[in-house]
Amino acid sequence: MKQLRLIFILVIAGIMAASIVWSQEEKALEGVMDLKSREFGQHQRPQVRFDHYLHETIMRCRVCHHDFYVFSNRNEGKGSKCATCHKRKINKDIPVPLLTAFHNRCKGCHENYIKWGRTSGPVMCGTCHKKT
Amino acid sequence: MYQFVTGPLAWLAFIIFFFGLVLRIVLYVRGLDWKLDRVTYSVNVSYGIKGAIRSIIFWIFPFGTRSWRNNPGFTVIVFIFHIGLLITPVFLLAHNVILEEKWGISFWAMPEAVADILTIAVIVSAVFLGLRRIALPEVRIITDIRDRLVLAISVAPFITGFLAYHQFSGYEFWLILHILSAEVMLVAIPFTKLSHMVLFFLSRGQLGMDYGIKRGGMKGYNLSW
Repeated sequence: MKQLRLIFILVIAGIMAASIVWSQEEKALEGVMDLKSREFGQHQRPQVRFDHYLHETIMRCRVCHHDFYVFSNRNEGKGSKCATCHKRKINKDIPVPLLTAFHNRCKGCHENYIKWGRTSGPVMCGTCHKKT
Repeated sequence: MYQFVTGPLAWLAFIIFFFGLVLRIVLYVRGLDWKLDRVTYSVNVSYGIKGAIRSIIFWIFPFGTRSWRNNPGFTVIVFIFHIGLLITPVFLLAHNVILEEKWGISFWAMPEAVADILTIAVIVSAVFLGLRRIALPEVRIITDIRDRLVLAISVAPFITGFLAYHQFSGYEFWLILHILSAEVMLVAIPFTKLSHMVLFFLSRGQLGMDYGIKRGGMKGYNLSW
C-alpha cells in the first residue's frame, strides 16, 4: 500500500514537472512566428523564425503592416496576409513580389538601421534562414 | 565587416576586374604585329573573322578539336570545372535575390540541389586538375607556385560558399570569407593567368585568323607568303 502511494506521488510530481517545462516552452515561443507561406510552395531555404513580440515592442505596426487601416492585419484570419496581395510573380497592380516584400521588410530595414549606426537585426542570408 | 566587404570592397573588386580586363584586351590587340606574325589581320578581314569564329567555336566544345580528343579525361575534367565555375555563381538563387534587391535585375535561378552538385563538381575537378600538375612530369616541369595559387584562388569561393550554404559552425565567418575570396578572385583575374577568361577568346581568335588567312584559308588565292 505504501509503495502504491509512493508511485502515485511520483506520477503526480512527474506530471507537474512536465507541465512546468511545457509551459516554459510555450512562453519562450510566444510571439515568435514561423514565416512560411503556401504561396512559395516548397521553400528553398530554411524558413525564418520571426520574433513578432520583439518587434512590436520597439516599433509601430504600420512600419511593416503598411495596409493596417485598409485591410487590418491578420485578425484571427479575418484580415489579410502579405501573400493575399503579394504573389510569387509580379502583376500590374502589385509590383513587389512576395519574396522581395519579405526581404525588404526584414533585411531592408535592418540594413537601414546599420546605415544609421543603430542597433540592428541580422542581414546575412543564413542568420535568418537558419538550418535547424 | 559584412557591410565593408559587400560595400566599398565589392565595388573596388568589380572596378579592378572590369577595367583590368578591358586593359588586357586593349594591350593584347595593340600588341599584335602583322609583320612579326606574317598575318594580314586588317586586310583580309572576312577570312580572318571566319577563321577566328571557327577556332573559338571548335575549342569551346568538348572534343571539338584534336587536342581535346587526345586527352579525353583531362577534357572532361576541364569542362566540368569551367561549366561549374561560370554557371553556378550567375544562376545561384541567393546571388540573384541580392541582385534583384540591389539593382532590380535577376537571371533564372537554378534549384539549390543543382547548385550544390555543380559546386561539388567544381571542387572535385579542381582537385584533379591540381593532382594532374603534380602527377604528370610534362606538366610538373612547367608548374610553379603561381599556378597552384591561381587554382586555389578560383576554388576558394566554392569551398567557402559550400560551407556557408550548409551553415557549418561559424556561418558568419564562412560567408565573409566567401565574399572576400570571390573578391580576391575578381582582382586576380586581370593580373594572373586567370585573364584567360578573355584572353582565351583573343588568342584563339588570333590563331584562327592566322589559319583563316594564311595557313590554308586563302590557299590558292594567288597569295604567296
